[in-house]
Amino acid sequence: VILELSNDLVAFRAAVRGWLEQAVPSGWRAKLAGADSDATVEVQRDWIRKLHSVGLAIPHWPSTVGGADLGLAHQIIIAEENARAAAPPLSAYVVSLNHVPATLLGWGTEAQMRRYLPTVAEGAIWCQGFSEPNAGSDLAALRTRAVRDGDHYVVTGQKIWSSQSMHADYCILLTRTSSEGKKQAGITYFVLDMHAPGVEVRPIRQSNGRAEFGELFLQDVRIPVADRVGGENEGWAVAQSTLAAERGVLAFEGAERYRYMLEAFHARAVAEGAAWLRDDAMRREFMVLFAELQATRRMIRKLLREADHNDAHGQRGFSMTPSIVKVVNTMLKKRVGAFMVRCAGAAGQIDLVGDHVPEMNPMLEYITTFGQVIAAGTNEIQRNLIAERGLGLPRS
Amino acid sequence: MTRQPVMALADDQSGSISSTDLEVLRESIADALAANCGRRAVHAHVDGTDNLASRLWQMAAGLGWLAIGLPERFDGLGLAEQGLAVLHRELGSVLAPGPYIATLAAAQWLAECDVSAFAQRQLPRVATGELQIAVPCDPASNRGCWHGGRMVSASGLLMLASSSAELAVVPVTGADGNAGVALIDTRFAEVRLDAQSLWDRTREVARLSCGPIEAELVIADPDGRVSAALTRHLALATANDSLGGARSIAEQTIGYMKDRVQFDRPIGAFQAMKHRAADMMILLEVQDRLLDQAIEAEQRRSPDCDLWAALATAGATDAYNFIADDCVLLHGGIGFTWEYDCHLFLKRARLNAVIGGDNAARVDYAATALEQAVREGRSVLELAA
Repeated sequence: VILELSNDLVAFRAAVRGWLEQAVPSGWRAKLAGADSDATVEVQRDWIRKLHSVGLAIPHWPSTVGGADLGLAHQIIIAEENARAAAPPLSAYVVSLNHVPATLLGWGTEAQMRRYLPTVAEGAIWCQGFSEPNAGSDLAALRTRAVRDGDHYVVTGQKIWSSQSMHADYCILLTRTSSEGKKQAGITYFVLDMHAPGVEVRPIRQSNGRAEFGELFLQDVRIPVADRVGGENEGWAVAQSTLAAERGVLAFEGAERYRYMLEAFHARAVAEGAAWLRDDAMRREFMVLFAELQATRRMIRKLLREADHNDAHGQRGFSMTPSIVKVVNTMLKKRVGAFMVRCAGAAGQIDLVGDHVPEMNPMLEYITTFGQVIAAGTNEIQRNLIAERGLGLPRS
Repeated sequence: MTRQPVMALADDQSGSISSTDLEVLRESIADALAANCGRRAVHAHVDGTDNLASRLWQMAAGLGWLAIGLPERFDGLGLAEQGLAVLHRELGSVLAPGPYIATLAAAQWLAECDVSAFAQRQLPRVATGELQIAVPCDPASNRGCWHGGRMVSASGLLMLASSSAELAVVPVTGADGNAGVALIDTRFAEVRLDAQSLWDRTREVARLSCGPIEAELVIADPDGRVSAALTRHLALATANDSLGGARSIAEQTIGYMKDRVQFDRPIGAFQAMKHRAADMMILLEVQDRLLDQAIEAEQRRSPDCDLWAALATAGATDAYNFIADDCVLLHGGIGFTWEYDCHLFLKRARLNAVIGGDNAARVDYAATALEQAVREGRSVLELAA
């Protein structure tokens, strides 16, 4: 019913808002504040299925793979309304909803698209097997080997920083198939069934106390040739499509949610007469963060419009904007986190557990932001990209 | 150089101007400035061997630039804040000398005040370049005395203006605490406008003194809104000039980093230098978008336009100072010379940071406005779909 209104953006927004008002499970945030990652994933799996029941999980995907062929404007409305309604964020589905379609729609075979893309709306969690212990920022140095054996490849190696891998059903995997020539020229891309024999996942406990990352150990894992994405040794080019997904609507919904969080933080301070509001230095610092949040929201909107325009016109040149957005967005969250930690004072240093964990937990927010600054190409790598590819400064 | 591109825009009667039209305007201004306000000309002006400012002012009048922001009823082009933003940005990027910020901000403010007969007489003269207007460097602290009626006096107020400004805008306070804003004709013998020499030689300031005299007009300002509007127009002009200047010196410096060779390679090949260049671009992108927010709020006459103008100007002038400062250092020794442009941008950045008040005051103003909006149950962060 909601999708039938897609020709009228105002009516579409009203319908999305109306549906969310009754559909968002009440109290999910309080319930999950101190919960383990199994419970978190369960809430998100229920939510993505509920969204899909009214066509709102993947409406911007092609109808041939379960979507509704809707454009950017609708995607923005859905993200804005999800943020406004404080719906459960689909953090466990980041790879499923962004990286997987960005890769398969560009490089997948017809059979791969029909088989794998519909799994997302059904609740399948995908993880990313890119980084390795010795291939972080220098991703092309990866060493996990894939050796052709008839109609299979046999894969052995180790992957790291693989978010949600302990819950994942599938993995998008980069392997080395050749050591000849440039290191980028010997990489092959696969879809890996995480339930295949020889796949072992060990969670990594992070500094925020949670374990959302895993380490993947692959021992003689057999992957059918039919699950290779792109040609043998063509994986580096395929991976660029995957990484481009980290620069779009993903950041948009996050920033929209951040807006409500920061506004609520300030409104509560005004209502309670918080001490920091009477401290000139603290209040000024907050206003700068507040201004930069609004600038960031506008920056992401501009990025999405540009990317949409470039896609429509087949333009694929390098743009600095995604790297700038990544640095600005993550550093802003880190600064806001640090600010809120200071406002919380000594009481904010108490590490509450179980049922006592508050919905708004400044230290947890702050510590968690470090992962965002480092992930998806560290901010140092982004600065290299801005300088070398954006500004034309010579490569070192 | 032709009048055509600017005049063609005047046909558009709608509130918001298309980005294509703004780009046409930008290109026409940039072309004229490239031909008439290059580095050599600016340095000659700074060295006092050429009066570029007055030549440029004549050209600006001839090309319709001084009419860009004004409503059509005052012989303007009606492009309002969006058009002015383009102009100030381009002027800032080439360090154009002249009284553009003061005169055009004051004119825009006057067009909004409810003084139509006076405005009808004076504003068309701004559009033609005949009238320059002086404004206080800081309308909040540079105030004159109001002796009742139209009688006012002032003592050594620091004004952003050349000594040829014919009209001065002076906020005044009476002995009874009543506030107003006076418009004073500086040609009267009782009025002194003493030019001061500035570190930023592309601009002029003067001290205004007058014994009790009859002003042309005193606009009552019981709740401070009239003078806040003046501050806002000054702020937006200054912010645009700042971001134009900041991007210009940043790009010039990045060019230098590609050419200058040390240790057998361009200094821009060192990662430490690259990251400083990247940080400048990141900062500029943030401040560009923040200023977009302020311009949009102004164009929509949002109740939050003062708040956003204050935040955007604090951010833009801070960014200009940070970048102009770092660009001196990125040039090394040559950046410290009179011959290179770095110091001209740095000095302009320092002056910009104090036009219309200091940044702490701007941010405090915004903080108070935000708390007020929260109490009224209003979000200042809504964005058009």
